Amino acid sequence: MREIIKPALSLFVITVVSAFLLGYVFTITEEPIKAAQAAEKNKKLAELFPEASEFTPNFLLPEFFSEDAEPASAVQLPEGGQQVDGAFITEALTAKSASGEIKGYVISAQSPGYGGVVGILAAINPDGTVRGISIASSDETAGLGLNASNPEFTGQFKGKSGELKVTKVAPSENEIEAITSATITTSSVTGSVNAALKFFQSNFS
Amino acid sequence: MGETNILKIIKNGIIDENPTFMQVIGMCPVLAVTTSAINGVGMGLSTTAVLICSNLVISLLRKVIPDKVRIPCYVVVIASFVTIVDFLMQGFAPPQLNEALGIFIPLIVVNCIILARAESYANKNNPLASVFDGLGMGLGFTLALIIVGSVREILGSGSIFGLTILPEAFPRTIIMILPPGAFFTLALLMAGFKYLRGKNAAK
Repeated sequence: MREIIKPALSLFVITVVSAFLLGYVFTITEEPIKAAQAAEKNKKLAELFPEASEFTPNFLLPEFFSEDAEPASAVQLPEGGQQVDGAFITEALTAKSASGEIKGYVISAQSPGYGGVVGILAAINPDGTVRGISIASSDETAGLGLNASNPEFTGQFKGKSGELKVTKVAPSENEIEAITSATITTSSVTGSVNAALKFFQSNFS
Repeated sequence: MGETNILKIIKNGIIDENPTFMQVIGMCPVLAVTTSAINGVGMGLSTTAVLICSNLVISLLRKVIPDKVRIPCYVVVIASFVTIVDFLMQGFAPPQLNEALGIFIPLIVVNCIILARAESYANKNNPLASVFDGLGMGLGFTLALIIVGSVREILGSGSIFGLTILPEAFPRTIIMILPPGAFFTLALLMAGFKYLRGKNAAK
């Protein structure tokens, strides 16, 4: 009996101590982690809208786009997110200057890529053209899909509007040239931008 | 413990018992993250840091942990420890450091090198020796990751550490940065490493 109780007790003590340590570290790091993530996001927002000083969140309407098809397979609908075609809109922010003038909108969208969900931030001018995009999160292949964050790729979206298509040859108006060997990533990003544009049309214009 | 002894422990980790090429443990990150050389550096250094600390903790607790339930104890200690490091990195490390190394920390929880060193070294040796064993093994692992990552990056992307070195006209072998490329590279490197070791031993 002693032989069972002693190891069990030791394991129990180690587990309890670990749990307390984890809990303690979680409490003291919770705020700094949130602050660090917010700072990271603010940095990206500031790059997209350098002249804006304030980003106000717009609450999403739950019934909006509800007539759309089933959620895309293997992707979980982010809490509070809206599905637009194959992509999800997770957040929409209005960028305002210090004087309160609306400079544009930032719409966060995500859709399935090659190695998981690719999240983007799409900055949209008040006239409905894309001001710029930024990759917010991605687990794509380094050297292939990860190249989507290069300015050569993201720059293609600047000034575009309407429904964008992916092409593998020299792109014409409303076309985005696919990254070599990363067509799936390109389609995911383009799809998210399209969803963001559609969301803009329905909500802000 | 003499200076030669420390060097011997470190050399043991890097060459004689190289975790990747000789012990063939911790294969998951070797295959998964080595699409570029810089990823190898990040994963390797994160693992080294965690390995040194986990070896130290296990070695300090080696008299407390009962033999019968040592594996569950190691798992609890290591998993908690890595999670704590993850929280601290996200909360307090400079953003650049967290961006470069932070993504590798969760992968370390499931890395069997950590558990293997706890089981086969740290629970039998004193804390100082265990720390150096962690350092040696970590460096050996880092070296292996950098070699695999470099080969794949050069052939697959035509660059090394992000710098393009192959001319544009040279065709990129895309498969090298896709999962099969990891297996090709690893198999050939392992064969080469074993060959060289065998040659040295024969002398």
